Amino acid sequence: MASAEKLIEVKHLKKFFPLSGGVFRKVLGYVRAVDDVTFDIYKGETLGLVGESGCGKTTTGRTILRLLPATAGEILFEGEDVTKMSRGDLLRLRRNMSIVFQDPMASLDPRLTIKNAVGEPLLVNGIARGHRLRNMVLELLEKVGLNEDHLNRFPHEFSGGQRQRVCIARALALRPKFIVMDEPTSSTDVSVQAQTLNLMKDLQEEFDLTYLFISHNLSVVKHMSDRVAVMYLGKIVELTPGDIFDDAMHPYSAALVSAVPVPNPALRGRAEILAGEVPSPINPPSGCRFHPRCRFATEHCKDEIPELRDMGNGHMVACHYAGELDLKHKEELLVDTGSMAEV
Amino acid sequence: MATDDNTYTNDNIDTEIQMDPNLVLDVRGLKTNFYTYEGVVKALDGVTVQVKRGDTLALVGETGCGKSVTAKSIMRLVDSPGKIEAGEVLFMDENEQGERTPIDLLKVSEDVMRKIRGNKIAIVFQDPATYPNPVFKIGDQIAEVISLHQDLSLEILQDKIAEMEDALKVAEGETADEIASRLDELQAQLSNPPRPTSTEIKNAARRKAVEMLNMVRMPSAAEIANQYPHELSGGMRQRALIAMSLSCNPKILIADEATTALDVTVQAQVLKLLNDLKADLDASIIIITHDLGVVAETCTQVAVMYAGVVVEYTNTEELFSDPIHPYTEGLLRAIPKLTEKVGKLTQIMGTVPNLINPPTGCRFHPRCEFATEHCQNERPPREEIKPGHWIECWHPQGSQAGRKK
Repeated sequence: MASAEKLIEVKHLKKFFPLSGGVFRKVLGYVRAVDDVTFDIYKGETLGLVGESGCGKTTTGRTILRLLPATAGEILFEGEDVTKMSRGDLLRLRRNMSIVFQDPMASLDPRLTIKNAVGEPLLVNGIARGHRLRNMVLELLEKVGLNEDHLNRFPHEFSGGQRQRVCIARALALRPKFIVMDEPTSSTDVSVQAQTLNLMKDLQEEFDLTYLFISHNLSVVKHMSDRVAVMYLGKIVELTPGDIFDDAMHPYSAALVSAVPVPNPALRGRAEILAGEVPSPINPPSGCRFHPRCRFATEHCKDEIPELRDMGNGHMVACHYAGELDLKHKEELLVDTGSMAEV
Repeated sequence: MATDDNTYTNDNIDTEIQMDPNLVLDVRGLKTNFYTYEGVVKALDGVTVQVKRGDTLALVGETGCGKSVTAKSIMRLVDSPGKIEAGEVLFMDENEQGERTPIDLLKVSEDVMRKIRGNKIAIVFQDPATYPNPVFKIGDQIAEVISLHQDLSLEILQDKIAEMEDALKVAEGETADEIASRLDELQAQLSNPPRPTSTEIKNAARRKAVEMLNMVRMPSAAEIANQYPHELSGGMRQRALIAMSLSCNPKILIADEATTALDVTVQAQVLKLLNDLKADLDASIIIITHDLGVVAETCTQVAVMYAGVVVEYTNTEELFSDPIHPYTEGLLRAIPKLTEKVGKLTQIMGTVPNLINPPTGCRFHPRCEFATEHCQNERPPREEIKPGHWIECWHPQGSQAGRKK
């Protein structure tokens, strides 16, 4: 389980994508995908990252692995700054971190057999060749519940769930310490999703892995994570050590939690309907980015950006009025914990 | 009823159709196959499901279980190489005088079907990015549906009268007497309105389109009607599609994964909208989804589908409090829940079978922990195991556990 030792420290991370146009491709503006984000990931924990589409969760995950260069800020992996590393250092470091992408069909080369796909990282890093490589690949496949018959098959011969297992095996090949799980089950069915989630939990225990678990599905994030960070328009609005669903303190997290349809007809109509949609990250609202949709917003929210404040116990909230608001979903959630117990 | 030539063979075309008057849709033993190069995909194998007036029915199941094929078969939109092989889709048709006659949608001619599609049974598809035509304005697309399906002549006449009355008050241009006599003339036509010109139809349909956009709570509807689909966000596009499908007051609205592509906060908006509109319009809704949360949130009846078969059909409260089919039970256990924390999820072993060679007997038996040889050999009959609770299973669980051997 999670220790107090920090594996990754993200400090004031920014990632802007330039928008260019006109004859000379002049830069007209920036998409502020990730805008001043600070958080730590402890050894052995799963940090969940939730938010709606376009909130910057995937960009955050990719920037940590330096698959995308950061615009500003620091990312420390075991004390070393990933953003300033030389190419050689980066190659060495990349053995320690890995990623599982959302769409397993798109992230596997259709012309590589499973043996080659999973074995590639081992070959590239000069760890094994020939017969030894085959045995290592086989061992990895067995870890994720596939077998020898699958070695020489191509991605199209697998079902979605099996393909995701292949991607997980490939991510595990170099025995990394840290894996970014970018929406790993969003394209799979419920029954297969349960299999994949269980597998990821087992592997985490077996290999002592640290996960950054990115998803838009709050129920899945809750199931997988030790701590949960909620993102909105490029900013972390809340980071909780406990259960976001019992003690959300930011109005956005509370509304998000209430909007998730719960498979229990007794809880019908509990959703707090937020007006409108997520604004564009090109021209984010001034002050608190959530203020145009927030029912508690005041003039103060329009003018000043709220800082992420520690509300005790490491529960960070970026709201001027954190702790003072009456977020009505709370008591309702307490009621349904009881009635859901039998289902 | 018009019953001329069509491809759907049957031998009892002249017999009176029997249908429970409370139902709007009664699907019986529907079978649809797809003839592919690899073999015959038996996508639907005897789907039986009913929709009462004012119901919201959920068709729920995993990918490839036949939810969408059921919807397409009801609308007769199954394209080659697909073919509806057997079954009945009875629809309670209602004419303007309020007379209700049941018709079998699989037996009527294509012309009749075209009048029903979009007019009496409408469908909203999954991906709002692909469905509105990108080169036409939102308002024009909705107006097209309206002018195709609805007789607007009476409304146009009423609009003219209202216009005249306004002119009388202002009394500009023509003299008041002239206007008054024209007004009388128009009012005399009310019982038998003349055919309107195409411009009149276009304008009236356009006005109605804006009304529809207002009805789906679209902010600044008049401006939106003048915009192209790419200018709208996903949630707004989905609203526009809902407006389009509701524009002809359909009796049944089919929402095929209508909220799947949306974010949760927007999904909550759209689901609430559908619920509100159902009450206003006296329509029945069929929601196709894989999300049991959406089912619990919006539906009154649920049909759980697995590999082309409805394995369980009952009302929502009953399904969640007493799931009887092992598949439903497994599905409910496999979802991570927001309201409780468990160490590990209970998983259903294996994957959905290939429907070219579906398992013999009960199609769920290879993945079922209760399966016996009986399940392998013989398909369980559809039976009402509790009042209003239908299942297809030899080994019911839940409150009926151990009732059958």
